[in-house]
Amino acid sequence: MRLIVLVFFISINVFAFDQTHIDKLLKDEICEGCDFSGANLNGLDLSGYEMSESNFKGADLSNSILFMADLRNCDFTDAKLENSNFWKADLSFSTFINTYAKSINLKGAKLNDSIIENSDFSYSVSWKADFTDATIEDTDFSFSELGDAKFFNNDLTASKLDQSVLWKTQFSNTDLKNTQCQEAKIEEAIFIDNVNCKRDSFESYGHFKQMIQTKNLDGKVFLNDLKLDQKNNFAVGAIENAQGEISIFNGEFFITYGKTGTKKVFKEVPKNTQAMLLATMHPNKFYKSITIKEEMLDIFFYDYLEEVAQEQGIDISRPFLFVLKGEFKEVLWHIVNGRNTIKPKDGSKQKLMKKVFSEHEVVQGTVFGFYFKGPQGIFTHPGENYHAHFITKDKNKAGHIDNFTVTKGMNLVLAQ
Amino acid sequence: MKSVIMIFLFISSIFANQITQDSAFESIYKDTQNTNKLVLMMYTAKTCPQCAYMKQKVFKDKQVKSFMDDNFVLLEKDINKDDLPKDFEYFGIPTMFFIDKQGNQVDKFVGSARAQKFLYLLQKIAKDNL
Repeated sequence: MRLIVLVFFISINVFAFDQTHIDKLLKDEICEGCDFSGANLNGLDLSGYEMSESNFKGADLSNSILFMADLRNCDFTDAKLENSNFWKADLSFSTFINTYAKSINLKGAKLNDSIIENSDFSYSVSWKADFTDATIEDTDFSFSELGDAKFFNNDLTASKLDQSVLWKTQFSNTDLKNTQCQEAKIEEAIFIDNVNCKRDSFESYGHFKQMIQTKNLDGKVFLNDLKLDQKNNFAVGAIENAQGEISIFNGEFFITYGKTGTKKVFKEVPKNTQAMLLATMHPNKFYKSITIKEEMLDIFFYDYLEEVAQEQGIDISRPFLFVLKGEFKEVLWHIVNGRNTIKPKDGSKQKLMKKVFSEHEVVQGTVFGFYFKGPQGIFTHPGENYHAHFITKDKNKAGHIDNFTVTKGMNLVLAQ
Repeated sequence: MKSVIMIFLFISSIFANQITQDSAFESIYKDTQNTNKLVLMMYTAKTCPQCAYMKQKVFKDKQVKSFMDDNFVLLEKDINKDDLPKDFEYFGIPTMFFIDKQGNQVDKFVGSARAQKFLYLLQKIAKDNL
């Protein structure tokens, strides 16, 4: 009982705002160094009010308007700022930890030297916001409008920028994940100086399901920017507008185009070629090779692959590379060949892309790709946990593999 | 009942705007190629980065451009230079008013959006009004 009472008092004290401070603020439009912790300030118009060095821990400022407010060195830990308007507010040196700020308006706001950790700033409108020298960790800026914003001297590698507007966003002396860098480049962000694009072992660009739903075959990454022509780089994907397939095996390019057919392989890509979908890996560890002991259809092979990976101690919740070499039977593979504009006469659903197919009764070659026991339809086709390509042993043919039969004695290597 | 009336008045106030005596608007429908299109009247300004983003990036997106060319005519109004039509109020820019050939406002969008989201919005407006 004593414990319950104690917890009750502690919880009251955690967010104990001072009513006289609120009264003063509303009367004088100024209250610096005040205690608003836990206060309900939802929907208020506090434009131009001076509240620097105040405590807003756990306060509810949702839907409030704080246009040009002076909020320097304030503490917004655990505060709710959803849909609030901080247009041109001065939030420099302020703290945002566990702050819920979805759809916040930070247009032209100053956030210099602020601390932003473990917070939700998704869907924010943050044009021209200044994040110079801010410490930013584990924060979600996805779907935000960060155009013309300044990120100087920040580390954004532990934060999300997915689907954000990054048009003319300025980065200087900033750490970004490689995928963030590529998205920023496509969005025409400005890399001023010393932007460090950190590469993960596995990276994927584009989103298969979204591509199908939106019928958008635009490029998502400049292929040559990724420097995949070095040893220990593996990639599978497709060229923008479904022009062809990208297969990169140990740094060697095998580019095939629908228009040039299934019998021609190009060893490099023209400058500025973009991939509409790409999965890449430079593995840190290769595992002991395995000899296949019996013939099996591909569908059973993928079940076997999952079992073997687990036996080898691979974390199957993260993508891993598999390389299968030897003699394949009943192989069917294809190269995408542009957007499909022909509607089927039988009323069936129109396919987004055209494909040119090739098949072999028996063929020597390599099937390689990535397996992932996680959400499907990102770099894999919906309903599949893998994305795999095929290269013939003579290296004269390559493309996306659809069906195959694995034969006894083949060699399988996994890596992650 | 009161709330129903309020909602009705609110909706009416949104869609009651009608553009009149605007020579730029009138000239659009003199071109017979525009008969089956809506006008996208965009309030903009030189100093507005969101407006620049929409014009320089989003409107130039292949899919957006193609859909806009088929279904909309863009009419830009600089809030600092041009005469703005009566009753077309705005709070921030860019504000985009979608207007049918009778001059009635059929929809409105404030702010900016990435190409895919904007295309979805255009498709919805075109579907509802063309």
